[in-house]
Amino acid sequence: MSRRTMLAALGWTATGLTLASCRLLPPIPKLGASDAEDTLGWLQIHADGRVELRSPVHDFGQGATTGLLQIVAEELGVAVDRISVVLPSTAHLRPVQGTFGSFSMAIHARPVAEIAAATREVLRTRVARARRVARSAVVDAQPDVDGAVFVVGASRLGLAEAVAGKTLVIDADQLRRVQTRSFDLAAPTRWVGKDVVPPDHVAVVTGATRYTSDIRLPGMAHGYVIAPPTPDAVLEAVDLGAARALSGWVAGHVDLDQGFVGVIAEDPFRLRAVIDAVRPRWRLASRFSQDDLDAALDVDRLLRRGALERQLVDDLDLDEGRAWSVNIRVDTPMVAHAPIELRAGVARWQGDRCEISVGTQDAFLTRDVFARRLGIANDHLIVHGQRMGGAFGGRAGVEGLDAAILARVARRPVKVQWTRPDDFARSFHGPPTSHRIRAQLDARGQIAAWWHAIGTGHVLLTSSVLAPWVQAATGLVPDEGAETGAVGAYRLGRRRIEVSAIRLPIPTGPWRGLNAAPNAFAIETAIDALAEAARVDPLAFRLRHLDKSSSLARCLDRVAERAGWAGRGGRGRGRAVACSMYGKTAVAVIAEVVELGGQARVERVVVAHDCGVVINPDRVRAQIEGNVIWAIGSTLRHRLVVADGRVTAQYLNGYPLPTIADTPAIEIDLVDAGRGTAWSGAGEPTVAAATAAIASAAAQALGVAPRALPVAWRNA
Amino acid sequence: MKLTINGRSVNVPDALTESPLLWVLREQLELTGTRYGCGVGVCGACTIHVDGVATRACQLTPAQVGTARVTTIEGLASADGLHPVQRAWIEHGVAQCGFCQSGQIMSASALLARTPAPTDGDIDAAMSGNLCRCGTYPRIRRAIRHASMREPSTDAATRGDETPEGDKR
Repeated sequence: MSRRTMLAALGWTATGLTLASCRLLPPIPKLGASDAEDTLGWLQIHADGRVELRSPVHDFGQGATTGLLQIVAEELGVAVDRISVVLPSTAHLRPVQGTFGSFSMAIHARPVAEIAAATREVLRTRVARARRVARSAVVDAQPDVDGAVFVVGASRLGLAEAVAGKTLVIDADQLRRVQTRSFDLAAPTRWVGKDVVPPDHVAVVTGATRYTSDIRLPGMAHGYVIAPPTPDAVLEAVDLGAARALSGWVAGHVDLDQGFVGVIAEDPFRLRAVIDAVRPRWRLASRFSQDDLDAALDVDRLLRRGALERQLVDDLDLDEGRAWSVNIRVDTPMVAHAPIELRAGVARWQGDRCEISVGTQDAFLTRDVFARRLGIANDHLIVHGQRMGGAFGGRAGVEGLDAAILARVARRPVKVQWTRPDDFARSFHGPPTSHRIRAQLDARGQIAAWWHAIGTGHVLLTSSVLAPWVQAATGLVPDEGAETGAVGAYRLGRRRIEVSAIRLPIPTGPWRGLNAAPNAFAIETAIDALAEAARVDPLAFRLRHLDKSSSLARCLDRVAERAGWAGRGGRGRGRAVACSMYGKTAVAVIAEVVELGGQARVERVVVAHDCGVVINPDRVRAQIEGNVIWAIGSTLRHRLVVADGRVTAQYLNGYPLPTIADTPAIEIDLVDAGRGTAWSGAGEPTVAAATAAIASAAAQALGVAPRALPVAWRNA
Repeated sequence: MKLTINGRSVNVPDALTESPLLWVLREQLELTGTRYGCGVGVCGACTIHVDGVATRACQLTPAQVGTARVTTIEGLASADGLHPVQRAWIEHGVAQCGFCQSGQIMSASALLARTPAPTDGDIDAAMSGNLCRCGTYPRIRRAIRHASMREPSTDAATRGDETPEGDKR
């Protein structure tokens, strides 16, 4: 969704106000690739030859940063481990798009290659001038032989010699269209397209990686914000008397309107006692139950009231007399990010200027939103993005705002550390979904009519980031996350695809793949049912409804070949195929699941994955493996339930994640890796088709109809 | 009281002897490689060695450790270099976000010290208490198998040496 579209929908474009100056406008994220000018500060070569990449990628260890390092290495001709990375900070970058949607390589790879190539050429000119030779006499050295970057006659120069004592940052008039090496399919590359182990893995295995909770600042105190017992509880009063009397007490801050109770102590040991001594009095508002939540987005209830909020496709005549071949109801639960890292935020003030260090997927949006909440100008707040230990899609950085509020009160730097119960209580979660799919086959066994109605919670327009008045207006703008994958690649005849995104009393928002996994589960379940009604093999049935030249059809052919597909399975041993597009990435999955002692056990998962250009095949494989394990969690392990107005899970035993014992054999076919030309991602796409295939195979093995996740929580 | 951590004797103030060892390591001793993932012994991110046995640092106090030898991720490598498990982890590109990996590596190295040639069942039993949300399990399994085919553990502190340059056996 572009900034313009959103503003138009909210009625702002008529006002003639500029984006930069109007405080009434909501903070709106920057979208799209950076212009060349914006990339000028991304790469620096220091006087001693060190290369520094000021990366635009917010880092989860997902491999995109490594991909950019490989590109820089390729363009400069230096080894990957000679390049240091600085994580995104509003202090040293111009605004960049946040890291989400598996877009990082598509958006940043070319600009990084171009700035690195331009830097190489500026260096070449510098060497030519210093040696009084023509530029053409400064030749590229063979990469990674002895560290030399250029050869001039008999001299071999490394970066330090080339830079000759003067740090190099190129400026606007040196940036010109240059030939990049990284994406030239005809030429061999040294790093791009290779299985480079991320250089930061050495730090990981020695415990040296720094996350937000590892930050120590001089004079730093330790703060905590007490979570309300339910998201809509009202804070009536707080007694800090007992807490104040404790040794280690530094300060406290209460804002009844905001429902904010925060305390600060000298150290985390005494902080615990301080927290325990605080006496907040909350008035519980609604005490909604799981049934209440289910009813709010029950798709059949929404349909009885008429059309859903938003028609994605509407060319189907809803003929009362139509005989549906398949008519199914599918539900998926609310789901938690459940990162292993417990979030933390660190903040310090100098006068009316603040610096926050926090895990965020968008340092600039976080800066803009928090500056408003703190009542300061954008340029008085710096946000340093930190390496994040999970919660893909969930990182808005609220814990950093906690720290900033408390640091201002304490007049000292403050670190706020969330607990595991905080993570369940204060995060936003992936919303539950509810689907009704009706479809009709024609006489030839092809799908001629398709009606898919979806009820779900909000995905992209989350309460954690947007002001209440924008939330109230959210009926005006599309919530694209709820729709992800709902309009797929299949030819389905005449279709009606409609969505309602309901504001739920539990905060919901982006989760890995947005709603792609629940939507794929529903769609692929209907496709399987239609294949059965048509008496056609599920794989062949899917191919009949796809364009033969499509990447999705190719992935289906490849996965069938790799897995030795011989048809679906049955009771005791399930075998299922599923496919889905996510952006431009095509994924097809075949899963084999057996029943063992009444439980489903995933034995084998085969994936064919086409994401176009692959900078690092091994990192792409790692992401695909991770998506498969993630899907095992969704299909067989976990769901969030609510009772008495809140999510019941507090620790991970209340939200069981897959363990190493659940790991199947995973085989991966990277379709056209190295020869593709399209740009698409790998961080999320597999979760959709994997969820659908594993759920289907598990349902077969257990002898149940796949109508809900996790499979076998309830039988259809 | 004094604790022996990574072969060195360190002082723990009286006020902290009954606090969870996890916090003493992270806050008092600034050994931040041992991670906080839940605090209740479920996730395994805080796994360390106590006399070579994989133990959750959030589940015991300095007083309970007493004179036993504690090894954290920072102390796993020896003067000869990285532990075979650490080397295998790098060769197989195991990590993604990395947050659980200190605990994974400590559990894996403890497993290999007592079971140099573990079966899949041994690996499951030893490692299923170390949760990974990124799903690096397939590579953890491969890296453990790879490390098991190398030298047994050279973890000096586990063998009871005072310093990393202690006698080899």
